Amino acid sequence: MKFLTQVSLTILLSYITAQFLPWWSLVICTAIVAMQLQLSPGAAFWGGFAAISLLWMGVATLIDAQTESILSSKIAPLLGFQSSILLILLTGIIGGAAGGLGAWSGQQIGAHWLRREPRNVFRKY
Amino acid sequence: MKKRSTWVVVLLTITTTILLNSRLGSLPPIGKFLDPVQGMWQNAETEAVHLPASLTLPGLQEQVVIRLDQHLIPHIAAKNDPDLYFAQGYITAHHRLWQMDFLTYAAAGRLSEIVGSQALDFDRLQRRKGNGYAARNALEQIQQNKKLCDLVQAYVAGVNAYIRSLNYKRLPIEYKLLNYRPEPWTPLKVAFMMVHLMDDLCGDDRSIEHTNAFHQLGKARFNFLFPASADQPEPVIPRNTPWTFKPRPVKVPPLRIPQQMNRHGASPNSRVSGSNNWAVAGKKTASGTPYLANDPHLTMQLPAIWYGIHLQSPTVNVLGGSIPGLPGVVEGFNETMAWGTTNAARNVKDWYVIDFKDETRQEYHYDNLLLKTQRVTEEIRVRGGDTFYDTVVYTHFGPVVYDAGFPGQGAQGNLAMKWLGHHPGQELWAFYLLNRAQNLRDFEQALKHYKAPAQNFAFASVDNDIAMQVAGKFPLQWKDQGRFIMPGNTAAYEWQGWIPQAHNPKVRNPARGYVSSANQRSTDYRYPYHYHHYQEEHYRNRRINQILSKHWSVDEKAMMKWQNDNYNLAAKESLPLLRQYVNKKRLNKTQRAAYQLLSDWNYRNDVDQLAPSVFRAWQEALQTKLWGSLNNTEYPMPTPDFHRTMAILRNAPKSRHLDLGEYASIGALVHAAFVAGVEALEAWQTTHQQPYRWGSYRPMRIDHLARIPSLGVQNPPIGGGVDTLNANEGNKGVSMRLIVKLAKQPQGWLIYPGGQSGNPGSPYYTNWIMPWCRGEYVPVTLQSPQEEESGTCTMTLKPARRR
Repeated sequence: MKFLTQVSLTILLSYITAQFLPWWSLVICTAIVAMQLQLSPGAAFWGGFAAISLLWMGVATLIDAQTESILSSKIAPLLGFQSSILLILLTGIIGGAAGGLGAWSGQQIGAHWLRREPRNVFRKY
Repeated sequence: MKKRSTWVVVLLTITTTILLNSRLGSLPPIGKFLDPVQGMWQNAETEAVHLPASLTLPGLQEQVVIRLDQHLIPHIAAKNDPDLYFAQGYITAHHRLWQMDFLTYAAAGRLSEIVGSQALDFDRLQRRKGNGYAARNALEQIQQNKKLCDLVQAYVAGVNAYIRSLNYKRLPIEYKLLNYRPEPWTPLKVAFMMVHLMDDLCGDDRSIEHTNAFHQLGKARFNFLFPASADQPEPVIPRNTPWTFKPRPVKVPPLRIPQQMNRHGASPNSRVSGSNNWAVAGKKTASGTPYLANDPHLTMQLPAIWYGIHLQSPTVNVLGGSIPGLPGVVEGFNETMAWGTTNAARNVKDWYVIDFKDETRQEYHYDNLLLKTQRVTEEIRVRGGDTFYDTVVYTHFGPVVYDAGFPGQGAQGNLAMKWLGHHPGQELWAFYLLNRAQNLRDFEQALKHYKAPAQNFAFASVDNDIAMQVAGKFPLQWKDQGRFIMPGNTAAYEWQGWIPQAHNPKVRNPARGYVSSANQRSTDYRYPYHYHHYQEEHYRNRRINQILSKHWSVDEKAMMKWQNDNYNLAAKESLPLLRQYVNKKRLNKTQRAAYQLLSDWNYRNDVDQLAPSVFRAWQEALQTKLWGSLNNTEYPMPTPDFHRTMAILRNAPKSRHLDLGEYASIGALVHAAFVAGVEALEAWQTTHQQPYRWGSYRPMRIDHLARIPSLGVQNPPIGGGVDTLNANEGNKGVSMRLIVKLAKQPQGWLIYPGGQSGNPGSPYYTNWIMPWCRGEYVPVTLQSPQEEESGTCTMTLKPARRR
């Protein structure tokens, strides 16, 4: 359940920020969501990966369907692919990788840098 | 421990993000590029056009309405001229920014800034040719004319208004692919567009190749193979046109061709582009109104070379083809007249061997003097590499283009280039006036400002006047000047001034009822000045005149048919002779079948025919067998063109200047060429696994301007070819077709290979290619489409109110 929350929150936040910030803002978005939700490192990574790759592939597929692959069919061969579908997949993987890493980082930062551990607090006194 | 692993993950994330945001090799920054919200996916468009209904732009004086019709042709209505050209700049950039920007980089020798060291040699050549010098001189011309200067600045401001509106999401796809951003436009960039055109249309020359050939073949053989042309049965200006002026005298120096071989030709020995135009008087048309037709042939490009546009202001109402990057319409029509051009292909570029005093190249001998040179250091910035500095030495002739340091390294003489293009006139002002010309007088007045690239301007008006004028500035030359490189150490071989503009060839309302041109010689031998063409057409010009002289009561349908004419006059004229030499008894079955194809041929180069391929394969084999020995990879030489080859076969088949190699007679050689041609066709069929139909056999392509393969178009199904009016072959072809009926309300029809949009992700990038192949046209008039017409889209540009 928490995994699905991470995925949907990430999609929502990244989509909004992507409208006015550069693409790499998604790394920060995935990190923030994963930081707050604190899943296991693996789940955080795959949650971020799934969120961004779904978002990117979703938007790309929508555009590609509306425009009848007019541009993807010309760009795919430049990147060494045969078809638009492969370009959409690549889009998903690239976006997913960035998203997954972002989420993983966020989870780690939240778990190890920001978390206030009571023991540590008391040990001081 | 755990903190350290966090560091690793965070660093990995940051590194990956940076990598995905940077250019790797020739790949675009892949994360940034594939981001569907701002990257390449956003460049994909549907057929429905979206423009903001209104935009407020600083720089405008009053409101301007731009209405795009269903083809995306902008109809601009402005209340004053500066606003008109501002809007033209804005909407042209909207559709074609990357193309016009890239071309100015190319003309300026700055492509290395975009693509890296692979363009360095190209950039060095552009710099060494003095393109920057030419552009600055062109700009100076613009600045001398206040009104022209204002309109160029308005155009530039419009382009910049568009550039300022761009974020990464809206950048043209090529910027995203090559990962750079547009730079602000300047009047100098407009000047570089002019230089690009001059380089393309009057920057050609054969004298280096001719000199190599002269020295290698000897005078007699050279003159036999490459006779200087002085006459033409169907010149641009009809034969026997009387010349009433007294020509300027020219002093002829003795022929002295420097004993210098050059390893690098000025231009590859390739087929050059040509164009057709004609105007027909009312007495020959069905409606009684004159017509004008024009189809410029150029190196094909995507985004398309031309951009259709309709400009309206209180001073003008003109429609036609514009060149992105230049204000105004270059060929088109207004309410009273129409004009169109073909390249005059006259020699306005010469090469001088410079005799430097010493290695420092600071002074050179000139008669009894020592003249000083000027040095210009060209700084070529190279993407991903060190800046390259090239020193170009300028003489009073012009820049030393070729020397020991370029191209390549090695001992080689110094060749300075003298080029009319270094000193252009106010061509943009000529177009400004042409756009507004009311009659023949205005037309001729406008062309007084026109110097380069020299063009054959055809004219037709609603007053039922037709005319043809060779417009441009031409040096006074003697016979053979311009054919060879010349000594640069004496005044004797200089250009001796200019042919007065009033002496330029022209004709008004000839009795035959039509004027035409197709890059052939301007005049017959009676014209009292010598001049040299670096390219001369022999077939299209005669084909046009054959058609026009025999047809009466013509209309636009007929014009369309002729512009798409695939009739191969070269084949019609040469096959009877060539076939006599084929010994049918010695042909095998395949060869006999191919021979039969030629016998049954109607001489049309249509896509689905086999015969034109047989003829072409034969032509090529014949040229190879006859002139193969002239192929010299070290010192490039020209080969006689097909027209000259046939003249030799017809008139001097036994000449001692012919090198027949292994063949006993010319007949045996022609026969062997036929056999070799058919063998080449069979080999082609085996490789390509399809019949050698003309449409597939003849290579034809429209490349993307940056040679990005999948953004170009291969083998569009169109007929024609070299020597036919529909001259599509290789990467050259009919870049636009325009027909205008000069009725009370003039009507036009136009089409070009490409589409109004320069975006490869738009349906309007190539939507006109198939109609262009099929010979279809888009009808246009000087009335803007109504707002409610389907497919139209209106945008109002509003001035920003100053507070």
